[in-house]
Amino acid sequence: MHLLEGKGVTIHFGGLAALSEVDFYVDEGEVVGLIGPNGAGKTTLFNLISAALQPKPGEIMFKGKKINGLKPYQVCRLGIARTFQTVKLWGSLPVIENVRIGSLFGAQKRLAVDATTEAKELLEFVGLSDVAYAPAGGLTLANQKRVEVARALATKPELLLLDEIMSGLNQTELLEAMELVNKIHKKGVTVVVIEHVMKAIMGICDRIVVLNYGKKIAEGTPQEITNSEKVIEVYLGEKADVGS
Amino acid sequence: MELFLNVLIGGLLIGAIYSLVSMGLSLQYGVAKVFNIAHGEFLMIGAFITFALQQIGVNPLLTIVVIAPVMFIVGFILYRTIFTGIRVKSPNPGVFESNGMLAAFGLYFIVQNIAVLIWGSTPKSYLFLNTGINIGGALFIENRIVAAVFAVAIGIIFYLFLASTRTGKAIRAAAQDPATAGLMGVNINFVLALCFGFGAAMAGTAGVLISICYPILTTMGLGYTVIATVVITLGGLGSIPGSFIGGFILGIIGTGVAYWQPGLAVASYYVIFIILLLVRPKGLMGNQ
Amino acid sequence: MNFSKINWKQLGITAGIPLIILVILGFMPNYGWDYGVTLFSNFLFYIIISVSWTMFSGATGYISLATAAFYGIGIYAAALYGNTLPLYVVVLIGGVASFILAFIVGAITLRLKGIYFAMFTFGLVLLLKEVIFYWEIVIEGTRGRIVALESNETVYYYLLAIFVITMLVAYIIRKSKYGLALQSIGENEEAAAHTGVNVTMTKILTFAISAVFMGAVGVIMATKNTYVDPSTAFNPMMSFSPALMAIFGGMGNIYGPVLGAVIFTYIQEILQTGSLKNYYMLIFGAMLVATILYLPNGLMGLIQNLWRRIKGAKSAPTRG
Repeated sequence: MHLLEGKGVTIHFGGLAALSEVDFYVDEGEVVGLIGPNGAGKTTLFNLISAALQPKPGEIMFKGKKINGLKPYQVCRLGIARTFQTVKLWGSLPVIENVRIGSLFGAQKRLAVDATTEAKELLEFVGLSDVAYAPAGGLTLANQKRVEVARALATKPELLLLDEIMSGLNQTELLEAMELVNKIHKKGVTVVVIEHVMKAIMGICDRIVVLNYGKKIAEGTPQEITNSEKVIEVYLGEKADVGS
Repeated sequence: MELFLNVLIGGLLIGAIYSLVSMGLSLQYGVAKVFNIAHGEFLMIGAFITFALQQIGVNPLLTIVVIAPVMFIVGFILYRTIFTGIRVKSPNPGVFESNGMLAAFGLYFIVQNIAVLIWGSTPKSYLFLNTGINIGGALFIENRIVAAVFAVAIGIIFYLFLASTRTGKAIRAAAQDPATAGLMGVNINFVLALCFGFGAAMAGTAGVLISICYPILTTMGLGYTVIATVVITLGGLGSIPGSFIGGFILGIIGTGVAYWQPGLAVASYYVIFIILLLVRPKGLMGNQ
Repeated sequence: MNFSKINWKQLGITAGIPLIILVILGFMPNYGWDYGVTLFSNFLFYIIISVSWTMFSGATGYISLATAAFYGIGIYAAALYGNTLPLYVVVLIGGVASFILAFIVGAITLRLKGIYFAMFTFGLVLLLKEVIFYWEIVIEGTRGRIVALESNETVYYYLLAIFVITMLVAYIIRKSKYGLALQSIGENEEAAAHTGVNVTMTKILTFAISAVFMGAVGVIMATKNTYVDPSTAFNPMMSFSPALMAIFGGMGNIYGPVLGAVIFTYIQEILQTGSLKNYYMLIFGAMLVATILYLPNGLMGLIQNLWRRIKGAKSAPTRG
């Protein structure tokens, strides 16, 4: 059984099909990359998985159970967490509070957990212990993205959806982010990443799904995708980056 | 049959007024993003100025020529000063919506207070075109028909304005997507203030038309604002044609309910409001 | 609540000072200063509705214009039962009835964008006024009712009790994880929803709880004014005042609305006994517009800003 599975996922905005008959799956323990040109529907797919939107028609199943129709907080508590393309932190709250909220509300088994301790551990995990009490809004973009990751991890997910956490980063920050994804993966969390930075995707993913204009056009290992003619066509001009 | 005509035609007649009032609010909220709680107060001022002028011999219909531009200018200036000031200081559109609405609430009390000081709290009325007209066996007073005709005419003129002039297109662009419209060269601050001004002008004009048919009170504004609120939800927030149609629908329903149980009209509007919010919040023609 | 985490010294100061003030207030009627009792009753009344309004609208940013509706329900609860049931039971009825109405309103509107909530609560006052007016005229054949008068002291003590409960509830909500949830909803609702906060239920419950106090004071104020009818019971000014006081005072902490309420109640007293009696709606309206434009964080915000500048700190404020 796949950890996450989508069948015939479709959604229209106005008259346009943002996603059209997309089938996909994610297995436990994988790092899956989701790529495609701008507007291909990648974030929309994340929105459908996290229940920000509902597929019409289509089915999404998590651990064998249908999850479309649920509310976002329910999907989160079931074990799917995400970050956002445009960072959505609570800027006036301290960094640690941002993460604590995840601990307090996001995990399904809310035992007598000490949320503050958990939050501190997670901040250490992402390398932000020294800004724990600073207002989240004052951080650099790279650090804000890490707070979002820590917050998502605080909800104890089995599946983590990362939406372009590497955009806008310099070389050093990029390597650190890739290392972070690796660490998360080693912790046992299944990860799906949306990225435009080809080097990163090829470096960390076991499998890649390619979208274009709302349809899935290719799927396979990084090697296969690099050599796929369809994908190269779609990414005309980016051939220099792919595989470097 | 007579009852049916009474409700249908009577409903359309008052519905025309509701449409005009609601289009005004639709412009102010749908485009300029201010939920103008004081909208009914502009209506009330229009009604009372008409009354005051009528007392010295001015034909009420002529007063429209005065009220519409004056209200437009007042609305325009209010938006350029108060609401733009709030918008500039608001960190995001949500805060602007809340603060704009609260400022409008403040405006409501300011205008009410002024009106009560000038005209007091008792009802005022005057006679104008008081003869009855027979339509298919149902009797209607001429002034209501004239008022409705004017309201519809203004609606049509405004629709043509929106559809065919450059400014009209700028308004439609700003209604759909203010950010992009701004990038395309539309002077957004000016256009939004225009819309607010037009909305006030429509309210004032509706006030003139109402004073022709019914007695007026300085407290009459709130009721019309509430009706306009339900209409713009019914028509769809952001849709001006939707509020035009919605006005007639609510007019008919209100008239029907009034025949059955006068005094439950507002309750019936709220039943519609509740059904809308539960089943189809974006209304008939809404795009949000 | 984790008791080992409570900062006892801080609690001593934050609770100690109010406790002392409370004791002083508790003995107020014994000072023989009748005017003081009525004045402080007014203070307490406006503090209660401003603090309860802020509980929900200040935290989440969803502006409620329904305060007058819940207040009016409290008044009518007194009108219906005040002559037959003990006062504290009627207060409970008023509170519970308001809770139920607020819950229903919340369930209908808080699933949607904030503007629908504002629009719906805005018209609610008019709706209730007309429905009760209809019911009185058509079904009951009466016009207005009389409520048994209670002494100024009784009114004062009830208001004091409700005030204490309101402040406690406001404080507990704010310091608990639900306060955090509300803040997260207010700052970015989508993020809150995706972080596991049941945003809709949190909003509905908080709104309903805040309504309880508004209904409760409605009951008490009816026993003070004794004559009730739909127009006096359902008055938009009662939706406006708490918003004005909370915004002027500052919604960043629970004392902001208290400050705003005291200041504006005092201004109202002065205006209503002076030559500007007929201008008070105008003045209040203008003051709200001015506050929104020039004092967006309220008086408390201004004071906090000045304090920080004096201390020379450079970091942005955290909500306290």
